[in-house]
Amino acid sequence: MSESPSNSFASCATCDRATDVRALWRKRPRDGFVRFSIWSLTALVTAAWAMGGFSFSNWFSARRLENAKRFISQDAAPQADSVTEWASDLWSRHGAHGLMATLAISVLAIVLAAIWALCLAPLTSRVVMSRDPWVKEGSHPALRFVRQVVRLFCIALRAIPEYVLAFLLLAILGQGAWPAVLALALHNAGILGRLGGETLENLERKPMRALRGLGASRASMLAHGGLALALPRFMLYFFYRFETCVREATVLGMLGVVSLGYWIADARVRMRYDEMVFLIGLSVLLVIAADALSWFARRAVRRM
Amino acid sequence: MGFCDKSSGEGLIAQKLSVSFSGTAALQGVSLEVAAGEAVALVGPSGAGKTTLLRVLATAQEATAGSVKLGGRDYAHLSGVELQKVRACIGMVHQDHALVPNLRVAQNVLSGRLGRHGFFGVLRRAVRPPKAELLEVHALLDRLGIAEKMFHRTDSLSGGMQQRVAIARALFQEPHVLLADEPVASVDPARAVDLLRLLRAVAEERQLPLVVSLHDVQLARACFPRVVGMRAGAVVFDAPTADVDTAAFEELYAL
Repeated sequence: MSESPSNSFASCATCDRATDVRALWRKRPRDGFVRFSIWSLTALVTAAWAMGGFSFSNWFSARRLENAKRFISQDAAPQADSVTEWASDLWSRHGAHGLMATLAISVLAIVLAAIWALCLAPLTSRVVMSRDPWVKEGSHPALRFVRQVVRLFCIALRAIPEYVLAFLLLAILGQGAWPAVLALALHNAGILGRLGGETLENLERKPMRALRGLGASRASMLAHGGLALALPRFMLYFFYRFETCVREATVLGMLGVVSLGYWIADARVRMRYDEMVFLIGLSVLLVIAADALSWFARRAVRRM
Repeated sequence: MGFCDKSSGEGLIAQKLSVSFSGTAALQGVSLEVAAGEAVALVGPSGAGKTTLLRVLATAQEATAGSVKLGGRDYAHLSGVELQKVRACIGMVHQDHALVPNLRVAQNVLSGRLGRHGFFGVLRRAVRPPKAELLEVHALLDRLGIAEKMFHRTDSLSGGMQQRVAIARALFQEPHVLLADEPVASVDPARAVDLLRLLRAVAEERQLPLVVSLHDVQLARACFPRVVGMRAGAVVFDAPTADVDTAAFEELYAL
């Protein structure tokens, strides 16, 4: 090894390099938070394991295996002579209708959510709500108050699950699609508002500062440059939440809104597992379609 | 005996390199020979093809025509694995140092030998680097003047120090050639001279061919014995610095 080029660099032949390295390692700056996280995570996992009462002993009992076999071979298999006939019958009975209803609910919900979020986002953003937006950090007490209130409102909207919101709205608005639409719209407005506000905070500062330097007001900065700068991100979040909305619209059907989920619950009540599997398959196809749509949209956005 | 076979004693030989991007020519028949231990500065206006040439020399870009030989080995027709092996022997210092900011300095330097180990070797080394390698890293950092920063987070260092870390990473590779693309673009003029001198010194100590692109002609003239002037994808002059007069440089940058 004495001929290895790196050793020819040994500038201090007298000093002990190994001791130096050890000393440097002992003196290394440490991140207390990382160590705290590691230790507390270990403690939490141990505690959960000890107290949760998890048991793996009956995971693979003979009875469960039997159940699984029966489900695949009998319950979930098409209960008709011809598979195409079975599928087309289910499709025309409630498949097509459920699919369209699910799509309609999610599209309406996400558009409403986006419009509300567009109003909320600037109000939650520190850079917008400062005394001199994008230029100075400090804020006026009134502006800070508005920001905190709007932020809390967004958090509250996010904190209530769609399912619970829809449950509440069902009691107020009665049966129909609106409880589901509004529940999804409110919840997602909270999420998009928060994400939008953060996007604005992370915008490139220099062009925004230059706009401010031209004498633009808050609103005109946002309308002229802010929206253009933030649009690609906004679109990403919009389509991401749209996908979630499609999925959630299906689930909300189980509350009585006539989406795919309603017919899935209905089939379960009638013990028709083959219908259930068909409808679940449809909902998966719908989510895949939404995903494809958002992929195309995002690709287009990247070119903007 | 290092990982890279230097027995041939040959340096870097590029012959009649051409590169075109969808019709537009970025390089047109560029030839460059750099012997072991020799240092060359590439100068020229933006868009002259300096970066493209360095990318071809670093195998990051395939030449449309021409050939590159490093230590007697041709770059052409390499399989994926062979290409990785060749790349493990090419040291590159990037403009914005291209280090992983939230790793410690030693970890960034140790990554210089990623190309030598398999995945599990890399994992084992990440958890517990061999003592001998740590000593090597310390010796390198010592040579570059930042030994005391060995276990600091890389992004806590100044720009100039981070560039030294990048040089240490490239040297830890024990490469066959040292390339640098605008290595001092984000450093103030005094530190730039310092850094380039250091780069030249370590390349000479190890007898590596050194190719550095610089947009600052004064720096190139002050620090390098040989300059290659490029314009519009072609070499305009290639001579010892003393033989190139100011008029030639002015012509190179003329609008």
